[in-house]
Amino acid sequence: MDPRRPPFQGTAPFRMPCGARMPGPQPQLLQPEHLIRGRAVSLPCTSRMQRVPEEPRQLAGLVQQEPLPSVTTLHSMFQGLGFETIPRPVLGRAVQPLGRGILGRGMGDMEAKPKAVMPMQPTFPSPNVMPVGDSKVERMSLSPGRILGRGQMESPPVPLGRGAMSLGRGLCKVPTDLTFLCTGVLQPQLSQPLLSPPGFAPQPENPPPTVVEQMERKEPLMKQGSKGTPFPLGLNLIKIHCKNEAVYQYHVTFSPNVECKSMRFGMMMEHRSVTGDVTAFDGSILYLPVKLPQTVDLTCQRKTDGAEISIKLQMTKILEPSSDLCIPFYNVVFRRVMRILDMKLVGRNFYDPTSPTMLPQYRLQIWPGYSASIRRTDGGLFLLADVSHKVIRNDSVLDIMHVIYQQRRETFQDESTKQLIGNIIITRYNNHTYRIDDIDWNKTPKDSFTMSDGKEITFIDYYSKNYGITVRELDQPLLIHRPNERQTPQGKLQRGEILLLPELSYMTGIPEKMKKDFRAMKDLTHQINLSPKQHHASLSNLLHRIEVNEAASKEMSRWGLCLDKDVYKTQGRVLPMEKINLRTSSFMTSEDLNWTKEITREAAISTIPMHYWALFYPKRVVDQARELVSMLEKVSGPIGMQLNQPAWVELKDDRIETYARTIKSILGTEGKMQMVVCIITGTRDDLYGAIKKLCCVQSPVPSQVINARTIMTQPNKLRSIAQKILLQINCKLGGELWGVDIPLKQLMVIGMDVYHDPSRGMRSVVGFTASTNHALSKWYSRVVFQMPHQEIADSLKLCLVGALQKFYEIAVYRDGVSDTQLNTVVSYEIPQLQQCFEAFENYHPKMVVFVVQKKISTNLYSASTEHFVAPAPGTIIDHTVTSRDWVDFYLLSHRVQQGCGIPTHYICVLNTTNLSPDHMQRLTFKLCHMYWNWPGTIRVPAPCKYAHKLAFLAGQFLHHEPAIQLCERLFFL
Amino acid sequence: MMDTNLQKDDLTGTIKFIPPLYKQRYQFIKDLVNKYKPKKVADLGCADCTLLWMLKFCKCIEVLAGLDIRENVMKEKMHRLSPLPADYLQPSERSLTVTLHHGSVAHKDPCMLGFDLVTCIELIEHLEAAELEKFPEVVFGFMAPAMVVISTPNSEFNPLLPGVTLFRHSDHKFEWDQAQFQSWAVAAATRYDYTVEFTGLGTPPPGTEDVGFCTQIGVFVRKYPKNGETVNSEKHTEHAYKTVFKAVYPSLKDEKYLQNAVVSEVLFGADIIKRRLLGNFKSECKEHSDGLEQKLKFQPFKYFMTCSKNLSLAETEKLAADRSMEPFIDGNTVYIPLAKIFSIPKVNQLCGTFEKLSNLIAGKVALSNDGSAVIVTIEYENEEQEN
Repeated sequence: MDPRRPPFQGTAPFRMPCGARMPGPQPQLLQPEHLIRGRAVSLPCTSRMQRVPEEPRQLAGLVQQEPLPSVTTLHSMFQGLGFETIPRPVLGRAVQPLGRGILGRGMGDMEAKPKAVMPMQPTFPSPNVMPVGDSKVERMSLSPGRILGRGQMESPPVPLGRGAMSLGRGLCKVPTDLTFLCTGVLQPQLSQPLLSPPGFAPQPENPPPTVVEQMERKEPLMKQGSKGTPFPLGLNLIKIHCKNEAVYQYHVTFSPNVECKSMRFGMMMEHRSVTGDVTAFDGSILYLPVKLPQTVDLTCQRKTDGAEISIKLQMTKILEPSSDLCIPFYNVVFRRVMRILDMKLVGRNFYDPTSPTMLPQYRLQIWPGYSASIRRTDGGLFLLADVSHKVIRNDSVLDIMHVIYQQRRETFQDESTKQLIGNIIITRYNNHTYRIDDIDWNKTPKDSFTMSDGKEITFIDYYSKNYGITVRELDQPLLIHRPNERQTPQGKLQRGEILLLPELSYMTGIPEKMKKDFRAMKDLTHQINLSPKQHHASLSNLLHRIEVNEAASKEMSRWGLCLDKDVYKTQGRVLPMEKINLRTSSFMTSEDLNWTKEITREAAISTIPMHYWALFYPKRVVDQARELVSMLEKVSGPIGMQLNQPAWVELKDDRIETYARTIKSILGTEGKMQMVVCIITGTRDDLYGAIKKLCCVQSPVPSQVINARTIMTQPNKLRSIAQKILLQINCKLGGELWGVDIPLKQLMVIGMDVYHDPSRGMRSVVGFTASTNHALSKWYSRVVFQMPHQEIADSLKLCLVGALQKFYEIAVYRDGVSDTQLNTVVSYEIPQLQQCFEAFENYHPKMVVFVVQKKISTNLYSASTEHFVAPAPGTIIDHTVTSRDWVDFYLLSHRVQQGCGIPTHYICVLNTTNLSPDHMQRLTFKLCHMYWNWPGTIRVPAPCKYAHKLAFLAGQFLHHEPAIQLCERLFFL
Repeated sequence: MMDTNLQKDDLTGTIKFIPPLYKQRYQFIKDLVNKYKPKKVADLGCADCTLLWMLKFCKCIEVLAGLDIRENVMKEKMHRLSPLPADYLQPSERSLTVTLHHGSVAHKDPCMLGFDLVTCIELIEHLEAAELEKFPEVVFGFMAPAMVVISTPNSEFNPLLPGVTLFRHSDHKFEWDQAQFQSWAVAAATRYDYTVEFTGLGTPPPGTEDVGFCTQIGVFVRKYPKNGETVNSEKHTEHAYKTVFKAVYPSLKDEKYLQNAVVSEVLFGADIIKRRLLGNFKSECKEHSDGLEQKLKFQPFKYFMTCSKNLSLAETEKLAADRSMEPFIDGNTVYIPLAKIFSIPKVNQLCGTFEKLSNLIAGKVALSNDGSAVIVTIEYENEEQEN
């Protein structure tokens, strides 16, 4: 698990309206609060469940409190939990220590890669820059490769590399590194001295084998299930037909060696008469659609000294035209196509700035566009295209700073830091995007930096000289961007800072202020949320534009690529409906997969009588408090929950201090207190955080914070609000709401997700939840804080060992893993998990591990009607779009309220159980029914969602592990 | 001019110019552009468009054209001549169109007419004799720009360059010494009524001054005034070049972008005035108001109240005389007179005239029935809870 990956999104219990999920480029900035608002817009009835009881707050100045020491030894943990530290003898078959099949294959494939392509590997983008799918708004993209590699040139930097690393999973986003079809002289970056220029992989001493080999073909993995009803689906994939017979790979040797990459390009260019115009060259590997003799010797004159350089081309491979190795440069080709269509590349996606939607009140505009890349999946070569929108401000960062200055002169620097850091900017003079990592208040444009040629130049002169830009404000501070650490092909770690002028930078993404503006977000959501029909129309439009543009089609056909005229249609399945079990009754879910009515009218599986609880409220909301309690009493009967009158604690004011002191004193005198309920006025993150910190860390007790507004302004809806609050309270007390039939009787389900704290370095918080009973209705939870690059193994072990009981099958759902990190999970996390079993004697459970990906750009359309609509919940597809390297499937488990059907991608990275694809798929769908904060299906399995909630609470508000006393309760709901 | 110097590597005896000569040549053109401020510039033999790319940042240029015989070379990096995403955020005052043509300098095409500056950097030495023969007629006779810059290697310098046997580049058809170049240039200038001055880049090492600059340059200036359009169009009407690239930069000269900008400012300004009027003007709303905010401070908007102690007498009178300037509320609609809107500095600056403002926002901004005021509907806060 890489701590740098973006934190989980606020996973909603269902697919969110997109607007709510578009935190701009930096996912970290997404606040669940905004999600809630967004949801509230379009889903009146669904919003309350989350919204009413407690709104997760944004981080705000927390009351500094002494952390409670919570050093827990394993031993004490077990004692506390009543777990047996010595497991029972193992029943069942012995299990291989390592996964068969999938694991072996994945890794083997990696090793099987020919050495020759290895130099390309380091170019894959860092995890936090993956384009993300489902929010429809481009998040960020910022590739160190581009920054380092491109310099001032606007020429396309180029790819190769992803293919090599992505193991043919077709996960290629647009690659950014190599220069391809291009003889660009690499120019220095702004703060070049800190970054050595992109180096070139040294030539291997021995030339590669000159044996021409065919690429090996792969056995398809067994991943298709059969349960459910076949259903026609459309996918946002466009089939690419390869007209060429093969692509030929050549190794290029320069002797004497030519270090300079651009010179190599130049020399290669001179021999177009031999190679043809269609080439992809990374400096040492050349791909051509034409076959040359086995060995070709060419000569060139080095312009610098006139030396004669001999160039040797040796054919190393004959590739299928759909080979993984071709994907990177196909993507470069596709980027050119988009450029021919006048689409602007921003980050990784393509936008049309000529037809913006203006939001003048917020001084921003939205550019329509696409995220599109070529990838190879089980179904062959496809263009995966999604609609994307770029939110971009009209004003420069300097303008924004001026405004901050006008507002808060005294805290200007702090405020600027808060508002700017983490945002993605684009610059006025080139086509790069940068993340603001810091602000250098001591530097101004009058300062100098060292250019690549060793000369000192002031920023003012630099911009004037190179871009004709006159810097107007000479005393502005400079923005600092720190490119992600990146390995050069030589294995050197590159680090450095890039300094940027606020005046020449524009912010992208939604301003914080706007995220709080319900109305504006509604407008925005409206703008960017396309129905499946509109989405499809938008993709069709793109295909049409490519088709009718001669230059664009020609660009594709140079490599023999030909796009289908429409999206790919195929067949998926809709999984059978599930039966929901309550205490005394069971029912089949209805079409819309929502059982709000049932759970509020019938008794939950188990309820905890709430005898001792306290209600804290400021004086001015006393009436609302009374109404709430009386309503809670009314609704408690049908739910089957016993409820006594609370201890009424009226607060003289609503200061944080008042709440904290009063709660503490009540808890101190009343030892039996089961639950603390606080009514607060307004959305106050600081207060919320203080209460949570007190009740989750210092004096552990389940707590419920209610925003007065939600019970004040909707008297007619108070009943349903009260029902939801009560259900949630029941969960927090340890009650169980509902269940589904789980045929596996020895199954433990584990959910893991990560929260990344943007303000505290890159510290990340791992949330871990595990079921502890057969009905999957009891949950054990832990939180682990970890610093960047810190190994999570030990903490994982701690979590798992804490949770392990006598389960012989373990299903792990791991959220928050990007494609590039899959192998980390496989080769690192899983062995660590497995080691945990050794803590028990003769304990060899079987395990299946899924990586859960919500941020994907795959869309499913229901193709049963004339126009595409969103598919029904339970729709699954386990072929065509799936990966060639893993057993995986796409499941749309939630009901799509608005926008397109974006499924969740489940990648099985380990399976030592006997679970068949059908079992895996159904189990996953069942688990999506189990999130008690939402009486319906959600996008991810409940344990993932629980882990997410927990990590978010801990990372955003607690900044500390919750007290161990709470680990068996869903206190974080 | 940039600092230039010559370095002699003692070990190899090679001569190295810093910055490299090709950069010096581009800089030479840039300096010339900054000095003479041409509006239309063409680069013949633009190759990978580097010079054009540098020139696109020169604020005076409105038309940039490139011509090259090698289409592929031109296409390699032509997209860097496209507008950048950020160019659309604050469209520039000037308009800029960049066009690339595929064709030969031996052919005439009307798209090359009317230029102020035509540059031929290291071009002529690549021309075959037949092409070279036609070149003066095409450039000086047909295109007839106000200024022409031609650079070419000085063969007298070649012995000082390492490894140069015959020509500096294998594609060079000839390399001239100073006398050859100058006589050719003077002949062309005389024939087509231009003056020519010679200069160069890359000074020879001490002791070898008489070989002259490494790159020799002729700067030609047309003696006669600009031709009328009619004369030009009569010259030639057939197109010999193929347009391979064209980029039109977003500019406020383009009604579409001007309208976007004006509508944005109008709506934003109206929003601020509305909030102010509603007494709901929180400090955070001050954002980006620029001069507007300043003005607002002097004009407390309490319905029709216009007087303020802060106003000078003259200003008060002026405002009193112009009550139609004042925004007011009627029901749940705020009326902001266009005159008021027009007084917002940014709007004023963008539109210039009141009529222009009216025209630009028509159909884009909600107006009162008589079209005299921008109307904004008041949404009450409690709407937020409605869900």
